[in-house]
Amino acid sequence: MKPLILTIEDQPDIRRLIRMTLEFKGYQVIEAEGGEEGLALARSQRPALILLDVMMPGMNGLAVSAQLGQDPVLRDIPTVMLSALGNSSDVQAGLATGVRAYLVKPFSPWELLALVDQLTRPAANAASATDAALK
Amino acid sequence: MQAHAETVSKAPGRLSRWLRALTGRFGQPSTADRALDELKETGTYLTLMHQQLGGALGESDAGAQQVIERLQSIHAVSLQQSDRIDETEANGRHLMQVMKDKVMADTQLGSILEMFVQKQEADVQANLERIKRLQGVKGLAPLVDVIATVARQTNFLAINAAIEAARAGEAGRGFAVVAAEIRQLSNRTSEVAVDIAGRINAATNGIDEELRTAVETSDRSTTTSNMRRVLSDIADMQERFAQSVAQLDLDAVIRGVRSGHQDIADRLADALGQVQSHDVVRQRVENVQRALDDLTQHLRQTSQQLNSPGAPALDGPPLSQRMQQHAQSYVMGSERLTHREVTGQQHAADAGSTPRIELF
Repeated sequence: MKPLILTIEDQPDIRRLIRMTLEFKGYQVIEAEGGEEGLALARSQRPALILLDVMMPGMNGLAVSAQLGQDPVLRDIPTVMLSALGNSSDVQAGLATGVRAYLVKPFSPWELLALVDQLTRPAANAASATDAALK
Repeated sequence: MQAHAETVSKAPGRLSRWLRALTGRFGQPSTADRALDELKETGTYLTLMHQQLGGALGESDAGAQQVIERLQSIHAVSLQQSDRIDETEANGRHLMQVMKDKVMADTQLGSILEMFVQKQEADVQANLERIKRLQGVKGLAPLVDVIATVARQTNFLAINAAIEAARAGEAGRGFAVVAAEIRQLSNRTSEVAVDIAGRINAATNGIDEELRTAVETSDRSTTTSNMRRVLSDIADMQERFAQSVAQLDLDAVIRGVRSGHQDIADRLADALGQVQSHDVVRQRVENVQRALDDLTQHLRQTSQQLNSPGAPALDGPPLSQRMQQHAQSYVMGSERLTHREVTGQQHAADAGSTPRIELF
């Protein structure tokens, strides 16, 4: 069975597109519309990977990532940020919260699938995955 | 002008001298009384002028007040307009964000559909390869024919061997048994060869048709290539939409409207300031009214003095001094200028430059 992926994204269109992409390769997908709901789902479902939007009303992606990093149970779940904010300072701010990769929207679906595959493989090499994502 | 100014400044002294001369020369009290009556009347005349000035000032005040009220109502409309611009700006920003999100989501959808199409193309190609490999099975049919031929020839050999064994008589009996077995084997082989040929035929029957269909599917006129064309059209539309969004630049339009409105509001405020300069006129007229009051008072005292020859001399300051005192109350450069033009005197406070508008 393919791994479970949690998408935390406020825009329904983008959530649907991420689901289409992941289900194309058979991943199981669960979704949250915001940061609080996403953290609750992460605690209850323990996904293999989290895809995290940055700009969200309420708790934004940076705050969610910071909380994930402080949680002893959740900190080991690899997290990938997906954001329309593509400036190098935005990317650096995202990576500084401890995420494994940062993808700029619109993302390449092939790239996302390759990244998810790499980060959810049992013997995933974190360093090489991050390097690949950073291009 | 200079001569007139001197005349005015020396007027009180001359008037009293003139009245005394009249009384003394003609000894006709009735004439002096008439002159005194005239002098008394000047007070009424000056009061009249004071009141007329006050009336004009009141009308001017009312006019100015109306202008101010209208300007203030325009100002209120301007504030409402400013609120509407704020609202439009917020709506415009929201609309721009929605359009940007839409462009991004459409681009994202396009790339995912592209991925699906690529996958389908790969599947079609893989299918084609599989059918081609299956076509290789057809190559087995000639080999089966070879086996059938070998079996047939073996059968002939077995028949010949049986004949030769029969000729050999008792000695060939054992050989005849072997020949019969060989013939049976060859017959069996022939049957199996026919069976294999039939099965190969069944398996490969229609494979040519399938291959042709598969090749057509991978051709340009197929579904995936149509999808690719649709994707390309959608991408073109997205591009045009994105360009339109960029060109629209609602922010710049709203900035222009706001700047224009601010300009109007500034000019309005300026107009309000100009109308308030009416107060300057009022102050100047009121100054004149005070001077008229002072003059009325002075003439009344002079008249009383003349009416009672035994009374003590005038104790108030003479007119020339009163004019100097009046000049002390000037706050406008234009007041000082007029004073100088009429009296030919330079007031002490008038030494410096004269500003166009003075606020007080």
